[in-house]
Amino acid sequence: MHHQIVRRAGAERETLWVLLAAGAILVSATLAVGLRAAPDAEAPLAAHLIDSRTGLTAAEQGLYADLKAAGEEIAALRTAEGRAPTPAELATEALPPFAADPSAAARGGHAWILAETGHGIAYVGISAAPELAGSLVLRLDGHGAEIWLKRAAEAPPAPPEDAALSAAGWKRIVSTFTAGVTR
Amino acid sequence: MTGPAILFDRVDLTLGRTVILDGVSLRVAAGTVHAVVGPNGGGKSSLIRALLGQAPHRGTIRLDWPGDGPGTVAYVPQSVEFDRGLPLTVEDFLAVLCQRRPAFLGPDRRMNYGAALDRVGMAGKARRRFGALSGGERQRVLLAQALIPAPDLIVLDEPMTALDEAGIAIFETLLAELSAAGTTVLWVEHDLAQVRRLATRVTGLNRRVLFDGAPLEMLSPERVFDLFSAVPRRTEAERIAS
Repeated sequence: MHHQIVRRAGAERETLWVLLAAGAILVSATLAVGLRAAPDAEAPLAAHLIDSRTGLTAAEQGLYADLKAAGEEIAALRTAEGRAPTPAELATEALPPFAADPSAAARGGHAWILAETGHGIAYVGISAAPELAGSLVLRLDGHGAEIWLKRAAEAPPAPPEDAALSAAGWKRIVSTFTAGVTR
Repeated sequence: MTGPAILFDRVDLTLGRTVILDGVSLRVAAGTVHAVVGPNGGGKSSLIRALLGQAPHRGTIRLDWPGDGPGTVAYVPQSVEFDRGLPLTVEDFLAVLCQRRPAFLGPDRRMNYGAALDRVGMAGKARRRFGALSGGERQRVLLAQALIPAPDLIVLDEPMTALDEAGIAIFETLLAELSAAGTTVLWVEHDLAQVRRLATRVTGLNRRVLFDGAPLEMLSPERVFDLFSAVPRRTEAERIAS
């Protein structure tokens, strides 16, 4: 004897299957996202480095951008003239951040001086307002520019070499590229 | 294999706010010709739809098959809606309904449509256009499709409405044959004389079951008046209860 129950017409079972399928997709998607997510903890920066995107104040970011552009300009002037231009000469050419303009004043009013290093030259800017922007060192040697920062109105050790700078609490500004960088 | 017994247990059917069936409890014994009679809108066709699993009913409808699994259920509808201009032969129509092979590949010879058509007196008309048939002939074709394959339960929804006299004779023969083969027949009909003659049991249905028993006892004039009156009288039990 086989008992067959006639099921009522309706979409309950179909609805159930659709919900189950949706649930399965949701669960598998959650699992996939959970298991395959890229590790977001990029190696923390070394103590003597500071990130240009997240570590700088607005004024420092402006100065950093200007110094990078000025670094190329100074390198070009050096090869053309055979000597390093002084900060005063750069100021007369209105090259930021060396130009003494309201913008420079608003960014901490740095006093720029030229210093010699073992391999090249360095431009040292001592901040008059460290709470706006720290003191900066633009170091130019044969292969590019390095910019160092310390949030104090003090001169860097002479000569401004890596070991001496980091020992004195200066930090090199670097750009790190992480998943958060969208452009 | 003989036919199944059918049990309707407190079957309710409400569509929108209209109560179509109200606590219908009914037992159809295996291998009997069970007629269901009642007025228009009494829920006869809805009862069949519920049995075929096409209505959102409540309650239990159970088929008790004698074997290990369900057998063949055949259904003869009251009429069939289709475009009369359709270039469809009688054989094509049977092919659409009866065979697994797609009908556009042609009728399956193994299904032996000719024999079924012969049984309903339509021999030699397999190639006729279905739209050109008379109402009675169409009804016979609907009967023929129910015979392929041989049914264990056959559900008939007013099959005699469109039949001519010769067709009625054929239908009676068929009913006798099916009954002899042990097929359970659930037969919705409004022709009470035929029910009285051919059915083994009859149920009066007007939203609820008004009577259920042997046709000769049940189809008394009083009960029939009661069944077809606009407001069906409450059953004896309800009268006592209230």
